Amino acid sequence: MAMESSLKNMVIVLGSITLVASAAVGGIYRLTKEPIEAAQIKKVNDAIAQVMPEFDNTPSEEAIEKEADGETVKIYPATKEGQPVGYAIETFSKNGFGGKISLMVGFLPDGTIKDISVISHNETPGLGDKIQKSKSDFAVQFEGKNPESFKLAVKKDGGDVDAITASTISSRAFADAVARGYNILQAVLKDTEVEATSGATAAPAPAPEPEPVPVPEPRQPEKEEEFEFDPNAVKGALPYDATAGATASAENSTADTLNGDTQKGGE
Amino acid sequence: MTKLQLITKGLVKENPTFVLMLGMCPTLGTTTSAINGMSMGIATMFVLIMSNIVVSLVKNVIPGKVRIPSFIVIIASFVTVVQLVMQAYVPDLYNTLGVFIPLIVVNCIILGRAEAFASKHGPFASMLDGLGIGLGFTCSLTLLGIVREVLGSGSVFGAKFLPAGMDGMLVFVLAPGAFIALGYLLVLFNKFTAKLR
Repeated sequence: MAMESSLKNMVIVLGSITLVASAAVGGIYRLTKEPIEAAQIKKVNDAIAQVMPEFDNTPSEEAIEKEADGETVKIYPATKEGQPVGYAIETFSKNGFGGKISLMVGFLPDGTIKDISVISHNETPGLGDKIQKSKSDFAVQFEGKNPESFKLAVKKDGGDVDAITASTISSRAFADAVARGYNILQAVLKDTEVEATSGATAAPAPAPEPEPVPVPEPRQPEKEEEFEFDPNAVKGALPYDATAGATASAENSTADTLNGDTQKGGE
Repeated sequence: MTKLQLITKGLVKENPTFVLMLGMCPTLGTTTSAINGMSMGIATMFVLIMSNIVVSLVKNVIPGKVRIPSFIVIIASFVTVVQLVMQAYVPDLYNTLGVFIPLIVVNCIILGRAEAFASKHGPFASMLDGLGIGLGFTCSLTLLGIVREVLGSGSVFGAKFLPAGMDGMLVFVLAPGAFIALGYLLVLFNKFTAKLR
């Protein structure tokens, strides 16, 4: 401590120390920038390779980005000899016990889950971290399941997912992330399908791609409506039918019940 | 104090964890497994050695009133270097240790050694001091990590010895287990080293 603590000395010394330090940190940053990026890309590629069947393109360079809940979800299409073999989706859930959970979910073209890999999480070691395949078989139950028939919610919430013991919140978030990935993929696939058909308006063939896209949720109500219309049409066509009486009595009984309810409510 | 004593004092006599009780935050936070504890100890040891050397080199040009800010800038630079290098070459470890890497900056051991030793001694002695205290810190963290991993996960350095289907006592992996394990280790440490000190 030979130096006198005058204002000039202090400013000069502290200034030059910070200058040298920031220059050194900047230099190291430049040196490590490329390896850091390479490590991150490698991590994503490893995750894609794990959740996808064999492919021969570079999915990480063909990523489709999609906004969801203020975050970016990336879809990596995997193709082999030009044919789509699956889609890897980097999806997430913010409802984990320790915050955000990021997953790489691999879907086959028909919507079936191929495999799931955990990219990052902050779940409790020994409890919630069992979502990782290396720690428990929790994630295995999703493999080969199609979210169309396999409800992505834990059994406690009426779904089909067996939750990890004592880690319902982590399991719920995991299912939530997979469901988010599935819904986004379906939306994107539908968009591209519409684009493909509108782009080829002149083409007479209404059945476009051979790609077996699973029925997306929005379509189901349309089908139900069609079914509702059909019996009405039949009823109108037939003048006297037992169904008419049945419907009438059904309506009466409904009215009765309604009245009963109102009375109960009134009392 | 001989040069050998400079190195060995950190192991028992001035052990940063069990005697000085400094740097408790990373000690309790990162020792969920032996490998995590050891990595944290080595990262801290690197910062400690480097900052001790640099502080002892520049001690004569630093005015007394701004020495603490100067030390902190030097320490923070080395921590950032460690952080970037770990992110580039051991990304998995970097993700596991997470926020505790940048928090090395506020580890009392490092500023404590800069202030108490490096600012009064030459670069070589300061380096040995950093090495000794760093070794002590690494050994303590590894020991605590081993104890918690054995009891909590039934494995040592990731190698599981319990039969499949059997788990360890979960509490030792969680935060309360860190305090319990540290407390009992302190008892044992004091019992067996009372004569040495």
